[in-house]
Amino acid sequence: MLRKKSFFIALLLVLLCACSGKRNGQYESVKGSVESLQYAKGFSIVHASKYTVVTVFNPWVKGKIYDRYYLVKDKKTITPSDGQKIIVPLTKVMVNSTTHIGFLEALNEIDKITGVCNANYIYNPVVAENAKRGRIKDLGEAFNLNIEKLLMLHPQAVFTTAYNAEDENSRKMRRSGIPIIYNIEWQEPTLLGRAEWIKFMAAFFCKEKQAEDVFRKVVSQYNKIKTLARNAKTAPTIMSGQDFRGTWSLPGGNSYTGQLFNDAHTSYLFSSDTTRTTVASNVEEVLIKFHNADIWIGTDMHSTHELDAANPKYKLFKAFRNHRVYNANKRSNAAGGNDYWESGVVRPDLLLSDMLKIAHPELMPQYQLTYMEQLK
Amino acid sequence: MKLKFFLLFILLVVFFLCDIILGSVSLPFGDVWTVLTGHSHDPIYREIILDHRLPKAITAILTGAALSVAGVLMQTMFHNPLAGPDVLGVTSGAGLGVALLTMGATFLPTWMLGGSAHVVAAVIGAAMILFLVIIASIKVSNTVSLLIIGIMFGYFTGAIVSVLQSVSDPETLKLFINWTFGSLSEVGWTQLNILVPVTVVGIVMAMLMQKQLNALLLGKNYAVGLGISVRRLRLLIIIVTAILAGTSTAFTGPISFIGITMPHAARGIFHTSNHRIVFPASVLCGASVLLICDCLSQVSLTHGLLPINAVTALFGAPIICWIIIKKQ
Repeated sequence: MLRKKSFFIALLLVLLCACSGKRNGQYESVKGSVESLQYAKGFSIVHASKYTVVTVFNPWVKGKIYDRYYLVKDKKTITPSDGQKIIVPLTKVMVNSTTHIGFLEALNEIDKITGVCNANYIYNPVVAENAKRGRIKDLGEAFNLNIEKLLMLHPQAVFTTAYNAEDENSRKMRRSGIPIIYNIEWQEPTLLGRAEWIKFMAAFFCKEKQAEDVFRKVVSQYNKIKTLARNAKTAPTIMSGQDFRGTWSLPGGNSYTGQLFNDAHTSYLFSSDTTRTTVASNVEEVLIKFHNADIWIGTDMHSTHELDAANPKYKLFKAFRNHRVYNANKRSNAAGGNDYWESGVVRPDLLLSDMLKIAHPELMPQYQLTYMEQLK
Repeated sequence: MKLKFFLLFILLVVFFLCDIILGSVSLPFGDVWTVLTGHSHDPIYREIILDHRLPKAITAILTGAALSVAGVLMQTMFHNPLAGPDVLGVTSGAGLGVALLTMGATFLPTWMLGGSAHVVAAVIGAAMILFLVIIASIKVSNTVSLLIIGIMFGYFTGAIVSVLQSVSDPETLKLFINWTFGSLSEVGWTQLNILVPVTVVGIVMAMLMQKQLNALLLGKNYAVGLGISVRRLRLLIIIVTAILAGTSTAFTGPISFIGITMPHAARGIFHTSNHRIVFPASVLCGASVLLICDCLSQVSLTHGLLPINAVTALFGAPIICWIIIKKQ
């Protein structure tokens, strides 16, 4: 018994030591001209004389660095040992999230993609078509990559979301010389911060100028629409989501959707909530709190008829009766790809435009919805 | 008998080689051979074969052997042909540990959720349930009651996992579901440093118990008559099973059916229940079958890999049906 216990304790210690490995390395401070970032908090770009230093901060441990990359144009340039040397511009990359495709599309770099995950969930017609024809390799499920195919494909870098950070697969990639670049844009607190990661992606393709232009336009457009929203005389009440086998996920007040609700001048019951992700609720609570909401977004259905067939309780919502129910499936394909999760990440201005058009159509009479669609 | 053992061993070697030669990427046999003999310097081939396929194949052997031996122990202890390494709830305990880590612990940073943290969580979960089972085994002398308690532990942990799943967001849910698929490739050389000695010690401990187990097979009273302390033996069986099943589950995730079915295959091939034969035979059968299953899991129906836990079940479920029908 005692022996058994001490065995487990020993095993635990060994494993805890083993898993706390990688990110304890010391990072040196970098000297050079710092690229100014307006909204993004998760990374920094510093141009030194011989290389560009891209640092990703750890979103989960304040003040810590998650990973660092030294971008060089010449293979022979010597870089410090506290980061990975990456020869830019990259010409063959694997991306494991559809959001990365959105960024690369905006930079005109989608032809550099040689491998993707879950090709079925890709909206971008060019990438989806090439994946279908086998010109872009589908490496399977992002959480369970086909590592052999990936090693054989041998891209110059893999862009990943850091969701399943240091697993055995990532060690295999590193050992065979495939750098892993952590794109943690999904941890940015603000929509514009998330969109600013286009500058992060651009650095690896030497497209800083283009990223700057795209982002500047997005910010100016976003702020313009936000100002426009302030002219609205009323603030319609809004709700989101639908029941999924008893659970109804509502956007937290601080989530991206919560920010859109606020910036489009709508009234959301959970707007003072501080959750950045979703709030789990149920149909009863939602019925009581939101049955009088004017607008209902974020359903997964295509028609009110479908919605009614799914759950007769939906009829009790005012938004349903007034036909003010929307989904985000306007730009989606039959296989399951949805541009809302791709280009939407880079274009928060369009997300806000959609929201404003839905909430206050009189303020944007000419605008046609981009991602969202009214249920028939 | 020796011939049968020899043939089983040859089969094991053949399947081992198959598992190294076959993969989701087809490499020419010549290239595989040059890498294995150390004449190739292609870093990609070396990574695929030496650091991916080789540790995976070794893990298949170890896990297959460990689960089969654990299965033999449980079937003998409970006198029940359908008992397996997971009846004590150790596997479910490991699952609970991982579920708490991935889905329950929202205060934990996400970077902690990948890689080895799973193993630690699984070990803690399995050890917790094991601790409860040991207490139960000391208090409860009836074996069937103990079996029921073990199954209840499984249900109990399963219920907590379901509650966690119901409130999780899709990404974390996916992370957990992925763990339940089982994966032999999560084990690299570093993890093998732990998995190899633990599995070997567990199997040797089981083999040292074979005489007492043979006596137990003839009935509790018979064993007591021979001067065996059944209570002590039971405790020992539980500990060894937990070491074998708990460790392999911690590293690979749950792998079902191997533990229940392979002891039957071993007994069937050698027409005996003598543990001196059944143990080594189960080791060989379990290792070989898991190697075959791993080869099959590389067959891509889609672009990814089939979950190993599903492949073993596809293999195992028909065998269980066959056992039941044969027993009628």
